[in-house]
Amino acid sequence: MIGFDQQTGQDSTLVVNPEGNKNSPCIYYEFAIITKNFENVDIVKQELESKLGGEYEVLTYKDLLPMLIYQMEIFKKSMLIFDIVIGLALIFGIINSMLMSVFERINEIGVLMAIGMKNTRLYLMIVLEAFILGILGTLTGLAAGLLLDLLLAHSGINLGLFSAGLKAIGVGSIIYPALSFADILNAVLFMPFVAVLGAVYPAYKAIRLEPIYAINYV
Amino acid sequence: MEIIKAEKLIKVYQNNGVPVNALRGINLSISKGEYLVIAGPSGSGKTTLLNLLGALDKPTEGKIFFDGEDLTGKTKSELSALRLHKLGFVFQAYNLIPVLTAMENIEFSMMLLGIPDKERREKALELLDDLGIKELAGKRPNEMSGGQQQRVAVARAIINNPSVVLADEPTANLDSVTAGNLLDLMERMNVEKNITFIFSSHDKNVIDRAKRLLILKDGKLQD
Repeated sequence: MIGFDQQTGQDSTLVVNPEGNKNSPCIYYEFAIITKNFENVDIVKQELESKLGGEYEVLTYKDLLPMLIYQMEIFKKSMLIFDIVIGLALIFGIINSMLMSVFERINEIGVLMAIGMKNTRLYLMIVLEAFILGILGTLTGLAAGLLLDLLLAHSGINLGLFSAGLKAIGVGSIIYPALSFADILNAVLFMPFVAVLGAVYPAYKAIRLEPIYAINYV
Repeated sequence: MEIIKAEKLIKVYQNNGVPVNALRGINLSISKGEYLVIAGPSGSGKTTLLNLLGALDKPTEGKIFFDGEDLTGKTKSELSALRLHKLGFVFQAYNLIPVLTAMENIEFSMMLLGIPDKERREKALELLDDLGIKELAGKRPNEMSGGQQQRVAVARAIINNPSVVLADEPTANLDSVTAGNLLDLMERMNVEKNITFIFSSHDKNVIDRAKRLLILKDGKLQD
């Protein structure tokens, strides 16, 4: 191959022109092409193969580093387990907070029962409180996360200490955070409902109280 | 017209596995508009009786009728509805919601009845004005004296025009002048609004003003 041209902007518009610059003093045996979008790798491969013909071999990272596929799958599964653990920790954290909130207000709950608040309303009150806390917590966490993401997007996280190991699997020693809209949407939609789930047991404990016990609770 | 009737009321508590007989067969009839004081020494069962009459607790044995309806078989939800619509409570420790202002404390039970916001505010202000404590409307319990808190508690108890107000040692934490003013207020509400007041107290100020006095001793009513 003695020439290579690339129209900027889209991965699928790569144009390889073997008849291009014949005067080039360099002779290339191998090109590394980085696609902007992860999913476009196979499309670009097919396009290159059809344009270049059988004379050239087009290999993707999957062909060169099959182990990387397994590692990525393992990473995805690990992240899922990580999310589940975080979710469980979150639920138990909320259960703990809401139980504290209920136990600190046993007298008040007793008064509310005495003046005629029904159990369903009391239950909804506690669950709604958790829902609002969940929304506020999500927004605060999201703001902090976005800020951190913005900061690290420039500098990246330097994993120089592990550079040898990372290089072996084709990963650079500086990694950059990647945050998708789907991640944000998941957090916004999911977390307040996790908070509600965490409030179910404390709310149940609250409505099980007898008004006379709750009013006189010290 | 009889509003509350108690038949052979028995209440037994378990204290560390030891049964304690708080009430030992109380028979009682209370008419609409009465101003009644249940007096007796500490541990005689006054508060227990008041709690049973106010549907806050259930008897071990016996029956309580409110407006002719037997309360003993009612569910928690039905008892809540009864307390909301027909009963008011004044507690010894005032028991206002600390994070709400006087106005919001009074409005709360109206909110439970689904009364619209504007109407609630008007009614609460009108009552605060009537009780001479309009200036407390925006204050939280920790910004009020004991007497002021108890007046707000009385306002909360009567805002929904209940048939009966139960007051458990309402003057116990008040000085004699403040207690006198509070009792004046409740007497006025009894006369003007025909609300039945049932007190439990061993305060002489309260006992002296009773239109009907019941003495409770060792869980039994004295003749």
